[in-house]
Amino acid sequence: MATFPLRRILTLQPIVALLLPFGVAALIGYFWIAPQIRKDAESRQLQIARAVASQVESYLDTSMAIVGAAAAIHHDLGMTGHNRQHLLDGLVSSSRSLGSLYAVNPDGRISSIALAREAPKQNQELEGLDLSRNALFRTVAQSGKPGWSEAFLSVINGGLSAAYAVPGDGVIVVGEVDLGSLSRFLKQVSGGNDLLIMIVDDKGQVIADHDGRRTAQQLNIGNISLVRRGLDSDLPTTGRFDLSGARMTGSMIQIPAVDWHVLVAQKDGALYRTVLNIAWIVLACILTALLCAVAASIYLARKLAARFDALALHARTIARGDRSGAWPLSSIDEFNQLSGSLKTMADTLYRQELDLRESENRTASLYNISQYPFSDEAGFLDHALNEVVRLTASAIGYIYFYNEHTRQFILHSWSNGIVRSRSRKRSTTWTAPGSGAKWFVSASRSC
Amino acid sequence: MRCRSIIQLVVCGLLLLPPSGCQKNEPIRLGFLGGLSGRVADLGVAGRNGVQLAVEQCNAAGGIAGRQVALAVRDDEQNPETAKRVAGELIGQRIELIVGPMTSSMAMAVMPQINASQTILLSPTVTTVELNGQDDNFLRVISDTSNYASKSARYLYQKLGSRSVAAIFDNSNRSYSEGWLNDFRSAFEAQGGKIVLTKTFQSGRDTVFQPVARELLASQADTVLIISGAVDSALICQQIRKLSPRMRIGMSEWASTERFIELAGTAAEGVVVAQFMDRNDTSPRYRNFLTAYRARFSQDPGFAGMAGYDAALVALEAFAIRKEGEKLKQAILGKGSFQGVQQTLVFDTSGDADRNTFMAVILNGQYVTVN
Repeated sequence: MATFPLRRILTLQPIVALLLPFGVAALIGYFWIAPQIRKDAESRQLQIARAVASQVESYLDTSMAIVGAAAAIHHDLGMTGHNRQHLLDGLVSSSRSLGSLYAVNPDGRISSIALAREAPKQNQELEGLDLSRNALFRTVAQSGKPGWSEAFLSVINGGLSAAYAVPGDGVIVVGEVDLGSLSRFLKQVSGGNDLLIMIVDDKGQVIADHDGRRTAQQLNIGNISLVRRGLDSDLPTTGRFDLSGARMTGSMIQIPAVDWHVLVAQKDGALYRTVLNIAWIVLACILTALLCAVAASIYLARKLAARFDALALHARTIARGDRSGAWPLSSIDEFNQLSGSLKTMADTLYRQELDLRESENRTASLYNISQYPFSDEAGFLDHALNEVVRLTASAIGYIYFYNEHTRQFILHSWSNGIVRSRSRKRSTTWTAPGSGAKWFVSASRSC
Repeated sequence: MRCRSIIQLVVCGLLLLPPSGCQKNEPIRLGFLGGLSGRVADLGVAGRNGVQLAVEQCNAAGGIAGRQVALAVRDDEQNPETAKRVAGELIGQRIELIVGPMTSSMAMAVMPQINASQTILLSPTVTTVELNGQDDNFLRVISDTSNYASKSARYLYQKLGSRSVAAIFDNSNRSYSEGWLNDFRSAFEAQGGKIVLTKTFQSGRDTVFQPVARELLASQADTVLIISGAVDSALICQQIRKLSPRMRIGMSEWASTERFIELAGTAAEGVVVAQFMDRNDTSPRYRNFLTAYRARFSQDPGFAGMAGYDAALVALEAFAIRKEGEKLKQAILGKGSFQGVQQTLVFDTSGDADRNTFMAVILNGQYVTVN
């Protein structure tokens, strides 16, 4: 089994204990809160897209109404020449969305034109211009029905335009929408916040966007799956996509009158900004707390481990036979209990060791006594007395004779220590004990 | 033990740090610079679309060595100051290679800062001779103006019988247009022809062409030569045709986009132009490119779209083949030749490429290769 130092375990445990709940919280946030935020954002984007679509439609309705009116008046009144020019000039100046309004003859040549800006010289030049290969003119001329163009490079204003054409009596009246105005209009709608608002034609080409950067650049975003789905469907679509390296969440809705679409999108960073900000603050707090916890746990682990080290050191000292030191104490109950238990165990072992040693010595002495090669009884008794004194670590020893008949102990002789300490002489007379008598040897630690 | 604790602490700290991007998985950044708005937008938009298509195809195929390619697009608005500013932005992003610009005057505007940086400019359509033969950071996948101008001059003189030409050129792209006219003049006069009148104009929203068209026709030249972008060329053609429907018109390749035919209407009929794009090409490589471009952008690529695509192919291949520590310019010039959509592009030691050119005439609303 692998073993680990206590201080490492004590250091890592609080980190794990801290990280685990936050990890669980992060998983919950990722799988539950983030989709919910995205869903709310998509719902909000769809509301905005609907509002924008409605307003753009209204914005374009004005253009359509003006172009329609120009075609109808021309048809009803059979206007020609000077009057028609006045009519177009008046209608263009009354519109805030049209950049130009012109009538095109069946051969594709402009018969009269009015520009929103004052440019009389250009008016003359543009009259008679051949638009026979213009896609919108050809479509409307063939179908005989009004229609919107895709975004196209206009020879009239020299930039990207979108136009609405209505067939009239002998002419087709075309109004070109000023996409710059449309961009400014979208900017007003977006309110300068993080929203990306685009108008996309049915080929996926950006007609206008809220900050004007993509307007007039003929950027085709039809490769984006959300846009493709949006173009293929009449229903609102939502989803995520990448644009210019940024991950975005967007919603798309159709403007039915022109078959254009409004795309409202938001960078994921902006979408989750509030949550991310909170998450970063919480993360910063967690990190700070974690660092403090790690530092504290390292300090405490070291302190606790040091107590165990001291206990282990003391145990090793005792094992070496040095019982002089005191057992380490602590303010921790459990530690003191462990220390006390170890002390009791050590004492018990020590006592058992002493008993064992004494028993062993006694056995060895008895063996020595029994194996002593004596020549006379006195010599044997002296040897036995010395062994007993040594065995019992006594100062003095006596030999008694016990008379079983009289039941009396009679001092027979004593060790040399008594002779020296009390100046008493040892008896040299030996009386042989008869039957029913026994010799006894005793020892004392004091004289 | 203390050391081990510190290591543990550091490891814990590293685990808690947010994962930082590993360079191996970072995208390769490619820039595009071109006029995407205004009167020359058709050229810039087609070029950008060509580059975008190449990048998207590369990414769909797994990128370069597992790394995706990110395209940063900037609009120079055909304005030198804007071009300098946005080129500075791309250089500031440490982009190694910028495809673009699409016009010579913009190239001349940004070259000083390009040469002062480590960034390579690889242009699809810049043809000015002012950048010929220089050991700089400019490379191109197209021949210079002399190629197109001299071919046009010879064709007009030899095949169409032109003897006198009245020319008009756009002053806002002078590096290109004046050089083009000079090359044309040299070749045309060498044949025995003469430039009888030269007019200039400044391209803009309020520019009018009727008076200048009258002047051109008044010169009694048998051919009018237009050196400008598609919108202006279309307007000039229309004014000339209004006044003289049968006048022979030649123009530079700058205007020969698909939009020109739509904008000029029937006035485009009979206009002759030198091009490097063979629209009658039936090779599978060109057909595949055409199909993919149409599917992606719902329009035809034109020469600018194909040139943008070719330039991007060169750039992407250079990223793929270059060795450790090698600069992109070295990689491109070291390889020397790259397969384009219709032709093999061969770079000389100064980074200029050579392309075959064709003469085309607009007939029934189509560019028809005639020579």
